[in-house]
Amino acid sequence: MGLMTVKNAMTDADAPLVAKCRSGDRAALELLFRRHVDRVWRYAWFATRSREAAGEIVQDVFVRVAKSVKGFEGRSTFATWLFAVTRSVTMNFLRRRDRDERGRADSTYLHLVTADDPPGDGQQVDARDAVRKAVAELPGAQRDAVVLCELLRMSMAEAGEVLGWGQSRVKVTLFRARRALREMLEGRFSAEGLGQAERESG
Amino acid sequence: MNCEQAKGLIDLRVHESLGESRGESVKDAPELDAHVAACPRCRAEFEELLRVRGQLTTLAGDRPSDAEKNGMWTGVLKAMAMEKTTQSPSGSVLHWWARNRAMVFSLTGVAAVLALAFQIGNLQYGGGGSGGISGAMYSISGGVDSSDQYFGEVQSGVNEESGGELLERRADGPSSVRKNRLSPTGSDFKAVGTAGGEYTGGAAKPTALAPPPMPGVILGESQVHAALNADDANEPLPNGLVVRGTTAFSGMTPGTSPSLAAPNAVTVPPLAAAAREAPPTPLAVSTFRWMAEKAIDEKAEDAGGAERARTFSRAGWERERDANNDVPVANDDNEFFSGGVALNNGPSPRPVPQNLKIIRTGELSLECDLFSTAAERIERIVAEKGGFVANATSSEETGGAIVGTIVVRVPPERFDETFAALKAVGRIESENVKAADVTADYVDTEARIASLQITEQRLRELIANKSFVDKIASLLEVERELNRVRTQIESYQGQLRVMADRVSLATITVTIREPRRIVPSASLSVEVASLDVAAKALGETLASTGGKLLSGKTSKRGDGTLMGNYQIETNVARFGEVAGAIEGLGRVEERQIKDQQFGVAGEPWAEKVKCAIALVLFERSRQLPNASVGVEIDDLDSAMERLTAMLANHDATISSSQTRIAPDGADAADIRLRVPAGRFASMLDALDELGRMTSKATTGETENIVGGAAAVPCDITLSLSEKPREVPSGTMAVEVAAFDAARDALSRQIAERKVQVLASSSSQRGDGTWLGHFRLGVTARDMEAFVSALEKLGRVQDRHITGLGLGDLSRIDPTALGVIELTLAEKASLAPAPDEGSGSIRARIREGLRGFYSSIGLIAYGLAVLLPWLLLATAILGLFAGVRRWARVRNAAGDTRPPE
Repeated sequence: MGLMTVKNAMTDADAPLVAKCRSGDRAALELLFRRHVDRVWRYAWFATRSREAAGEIVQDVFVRVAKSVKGFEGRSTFATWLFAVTRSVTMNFLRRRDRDERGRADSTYLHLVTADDPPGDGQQVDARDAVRKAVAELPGAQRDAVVLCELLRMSMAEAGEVLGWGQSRVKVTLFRARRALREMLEGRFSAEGLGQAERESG
Repeated sequence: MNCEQAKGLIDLRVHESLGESRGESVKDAPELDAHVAACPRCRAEFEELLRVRGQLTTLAGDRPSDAEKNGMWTGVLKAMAMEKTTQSPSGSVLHWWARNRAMVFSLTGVAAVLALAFQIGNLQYGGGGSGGISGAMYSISGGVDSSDQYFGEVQSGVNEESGGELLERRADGPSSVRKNRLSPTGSDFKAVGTAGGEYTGGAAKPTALAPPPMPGVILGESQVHAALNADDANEPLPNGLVVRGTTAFSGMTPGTSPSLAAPNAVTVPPLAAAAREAPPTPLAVSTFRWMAEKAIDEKAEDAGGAERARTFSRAGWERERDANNDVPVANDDNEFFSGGVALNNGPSPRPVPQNLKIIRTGELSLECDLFSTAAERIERIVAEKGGFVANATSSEETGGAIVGTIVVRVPPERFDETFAALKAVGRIESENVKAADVTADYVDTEARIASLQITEQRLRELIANKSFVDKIASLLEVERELNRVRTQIESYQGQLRVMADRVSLATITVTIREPRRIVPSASLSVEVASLDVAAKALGETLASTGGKLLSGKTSKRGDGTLMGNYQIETNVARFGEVAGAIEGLGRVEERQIKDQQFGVAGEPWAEKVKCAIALVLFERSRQLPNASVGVEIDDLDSAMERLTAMLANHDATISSSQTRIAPDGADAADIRLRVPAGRFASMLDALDELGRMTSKATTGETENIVGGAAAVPCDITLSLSEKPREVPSGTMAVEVAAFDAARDALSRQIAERKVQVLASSSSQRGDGTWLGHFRLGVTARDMEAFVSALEKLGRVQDRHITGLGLGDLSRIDPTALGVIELTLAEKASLAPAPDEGSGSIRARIREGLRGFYSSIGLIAYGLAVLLPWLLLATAILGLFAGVRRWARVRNAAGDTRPPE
């Protein structure tokens, strides 16, 4: 994982690209886009539970990045900054959507079941879907913590920076989130299924 | 390690154990592991973390697809572009300026330098303007901001102060004087090298020298020469060049001013005052030119070739003069100095030999737009100069460029002006002027002739004197010798004549080459509706544009459509027009245009240079039509008559026909028609008029078939059938008094009229009466009589007979069978049926039973509803009774208790 901690902000792997990008280099922006799009998308996806919305958010994020990269001072890594932007765009999006959809039935998590899931036997696909649902069902702060720390593999310090929290808050939230996840998933799977999932990941 | 310490590290440790280091690492991992192993709480935490992690890793595959990513990126770009366009216009102008500032500056610089160069060129080439600055190559650096990254490659040798600098200039055109020098060896030039004067021949003298364009400009030698031609010879030249001279007649003495301070000073032979007045002679001009060049060359050699500017000094001139001191000098008699300019060859004037024989030849290679006009111009020029065209050949090279050679003879004294005039005809590729001195040869030959003539004279005298020893033999010998001498004299005289001819008329060989032109070509493939129409239009186009049809081939394809292959030649000027007209013929399927230049239509050569267009016109391939039509007609014969007329109108023929008669006597015909595809649709419409169209099935295209396919015969299968003829038939119901009697009467009728009994059935009804059904086949002819006979059988209850009017059998086959469904019903008796009573008893029993069952059911239902209540009531009563009994027993027991 190429992410550095805040301490290593000066040696941010994205720094040269960011510098080019700042002078309006379209190609550099595209490289940055390719490098981070998966993670930004995944964050947005878990937050919005919709592929379309995630795509929209990714676009907004990178348009914002292109516009305001000049204001990025390199005090943190580009990645943490990017996720701060992503988070704010996502929040705006969710606020807007909530306003639009107020009174409508709560959107289901069916969006999360994707057609391009890697193939596996029924149980595995089922398990993955359950994990997705569980993550998506977490309360906002816990979900952010889990997505950033666990799915996007950020350190707590980085996640704290993205979320604007202290490290201890990240830790506590993450702890609670894990507990909640375990509770949600435990009722669902036999020990065998979990073992399989673990073996697969191992 | 205690739990408190472990707690903070477990998270990291889990990540590490999953092989996901995050830059931080657990320092005392073994200790932590030991603690986790020992402490059940921490182990639980560790395992839980591991498990959640494990579950979450299953989601690692969740990511957008590549297509989605690309879509998002496009979205980003679009959004950015949208934002850009919504910026204020002034901002975008500024933006453009900021981006292209460097380019604007450099273009301005280039333009300035070009304008300057053009000005100089004009002066230099005598203001003729014909040569312009063609052939010149520039390496230019404009006002380029060196910090700008966009034009880095133009910046070699940038000079940031000057507005632009002409670093180098090479010109292969008229300025390459060195090529045309007079033969620099021998005595030719020395003999005449004293002439100070202009060398541009008849060309207009420049009236002013261009001021130094800018500091630091280095001029080519042509400009030095131009400067030499300036009226004021003392005008300082750019770059410190100084031309010095005097107006005094001083011949070969170069530069009277002894103080040639400037190191790069050019000193040329001053122009004699007399020479200025008199028209310059060609030879003098050539000589001067050679001298100037020679000096320039030497100067350049002295400087090691490092200096671009060819300049020379007084020393060079003096060397030149010393070396040439022994050269004879022209005198008044010299034919080449016909201007009569007396020249003084400095300190040691020498006479120029008489009858100097010089053969002047020039070779000129020109590039002209059009050979023909160039040739005309050359002829005109030569005629003006008193010469003639000795030979002209031309040939066409591949690509249509014409290359030709014109050999021109002119009087030698007009050689230079002719040569100069010829040079103006086109762009000069190379030029070469030679002057070969054949004086020695000429004199030699003359001397030989003279001596041979003396010999001849003596031989003649010998013969005349007859002073021979051995007369006959000697006479023969002498005469043979005389012949030999005579032949030799003639041969020499011939040589002399040739020489004299070549001396008396200079030869200029002009090679004219049309530029290698980019000739457009096109290959078009156009789908047209009809090839004939399109070909006609094409012909009109070619006629109006002066094009030619080189070849044309028409072929017919399988479906009858036509395809034409054409090779068209047109001239370059009308190429676009012709190609456009062709594209207008139909739908362009393929278009390949090569080397089309725009804006050449107005060029004079464009009218004459041919270019080729390969064209394929083809008709759209057709799905030929095919139809099958069914028409109901009144009468076959009249329909056939009308059909025949229609066929004549539509060029159609009947390929087969078959008639048949239907069972009901109606005529029908199956006809196969062959109709040209072009008339197919109208034929179909016409068929509609024959009668009522009952079916119509078409395949393929029917409408708008034109071109070759229109003539292809297509089939229509026509099925004509007369309206079906209905034979009278129907149903009848007759109530008869007695069934048997009626049946007998019917049988008689049947027998009498040969009626077919198709089916019959009779049955006795409940009341003992009979009912009969008969299905009878009756010929149409007998139908009417038979029906009326049936009516007499009894009372007609129902009669429903359809068909053509019963009396009119003209349109139907009288023997056709009609079917009558006849029902004969015996009149029902009024007596009550005996069975009725028994039936009602059974019904009554059934009724009674049903009542019984239903009452049983009701009772059961009532019981079922009441039973729980009864049970409940019983239970309550029992309970009540029990309680009372118990109370009684207790009271009784209380009464028996003894007092305390």
